[in-house]
Amino acid sequence: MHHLRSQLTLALVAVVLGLLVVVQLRAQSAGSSLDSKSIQDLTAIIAQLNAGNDQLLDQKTTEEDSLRQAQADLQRGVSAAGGAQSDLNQILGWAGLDAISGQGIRLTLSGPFPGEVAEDALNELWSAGADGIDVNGIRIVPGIVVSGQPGLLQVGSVSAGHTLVISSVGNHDALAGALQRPGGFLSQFSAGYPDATTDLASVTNLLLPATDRTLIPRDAQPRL
Amino acid sequence: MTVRPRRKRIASWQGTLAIALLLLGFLIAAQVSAQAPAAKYSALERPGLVQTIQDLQHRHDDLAASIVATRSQLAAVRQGGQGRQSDLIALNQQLQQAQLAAGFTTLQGGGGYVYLSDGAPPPGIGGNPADYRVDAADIRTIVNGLWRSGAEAIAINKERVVTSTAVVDVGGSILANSAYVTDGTGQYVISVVGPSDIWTKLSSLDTFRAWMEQRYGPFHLAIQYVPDSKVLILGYAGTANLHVAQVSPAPSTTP
Repeated sequence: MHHLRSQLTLALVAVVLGLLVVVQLRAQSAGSSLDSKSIQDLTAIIAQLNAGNDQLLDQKTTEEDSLRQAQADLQRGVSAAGGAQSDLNQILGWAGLDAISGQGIRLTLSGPFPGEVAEDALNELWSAGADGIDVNGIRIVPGIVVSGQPGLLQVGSVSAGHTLVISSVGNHDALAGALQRPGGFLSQFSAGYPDATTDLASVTNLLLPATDRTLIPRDAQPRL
Repeated sequence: MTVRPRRKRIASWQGTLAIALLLLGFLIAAQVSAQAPAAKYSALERPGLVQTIQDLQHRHDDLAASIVATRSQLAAVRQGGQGRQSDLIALNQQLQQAQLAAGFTTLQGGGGYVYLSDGAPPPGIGGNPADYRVDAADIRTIVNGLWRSGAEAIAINKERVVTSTAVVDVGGSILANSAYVTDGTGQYVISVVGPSDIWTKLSSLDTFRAWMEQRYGPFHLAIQYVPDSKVLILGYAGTANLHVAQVSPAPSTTP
């Protein structure tokens, strides 16, 4: 009788233990899905998606206004050159195919650090709403990457030694705030590369050059 | 004569145990009652928040599709209205070329797909489970490596990588072009159009080898490249507005 009771107790403990292991494993396997995220994480994602959708809505409105204007011009027999030229200028400046100017920030990084670290700063600046960026006078466009070992830095294929000057046009408070936030680029850079130096300055009128890189795909074909 | 003290000892021991168990029970009850409202609140909030994220992502996809459709209509209207005006024909051609260069146009070409997946923490090993998940820095390392290896166009899941693309970690998820690119399975697909030896070139880069040592090895992230002769990369459908900048058509250098 006593032996049977012990076996039952042991079986009960084993069942509870098995249940707990399964629950734990399921919780871990669902680690990357939304269901496993905290309320704070979900709220942060919602805030970002909302901001992104607001920007998309603005863009949609702009495109629809352009379409209405072009249709009206067509009906009245008026040349649609004005709208097309305006769109062209906007795209050329945004894509880095034309020079742009305006307020912004200038960040100088100097010393022993690898080039890919500077890519984190560029990512922060784009995320903060930069209109354009250049590094050592080279406009950042798709295909231009900052790389290289400490002291042998490269911007694209151009040697940069051990100093990078990152110029970014945009709202300078937003850009500087993004770089200076606690746990942001500057604090991580200072902690990771204590021998390197940084200098961040607000600039009232920066001029970023156009890229000299051809952005038209060589082999890929456009699909409508 | 000896029985009475033994009974006394047992009674005393049982009494102490009973008091300890009573105290333990009280503490557990207090703890559970303190946690219950928060847990209940979280459990009630979560499905609504998850649904909101899914709705916002659908809204994002709808807006992006609408922008692409409006751009196509606009191009058609402008071409229809250009007639034989040579200046307008040239302007529309310039605009099309600029849109192609800026990444607004869907492209197809040879290249492949890089599949990047979360690792699974081995049982019994401590550490932070988040280290085993693909993060924005992993994606950026691969994307920058692909550019350096000759890529012509890249997309992260459906999001085209353009000049202003930021890839960021938000709440344990990855956003690119402010779109949620985590599908919940922990797998990311980076589509690339580029040279046929792009994977070989990527694999030889110092940054990629360092990434393999620091992330692929210790945290079991999975990476695979599948070449394809007809990779389709959608055009960028996001915002292309300049916030404070003025366009200066004449090329110049930073002072």
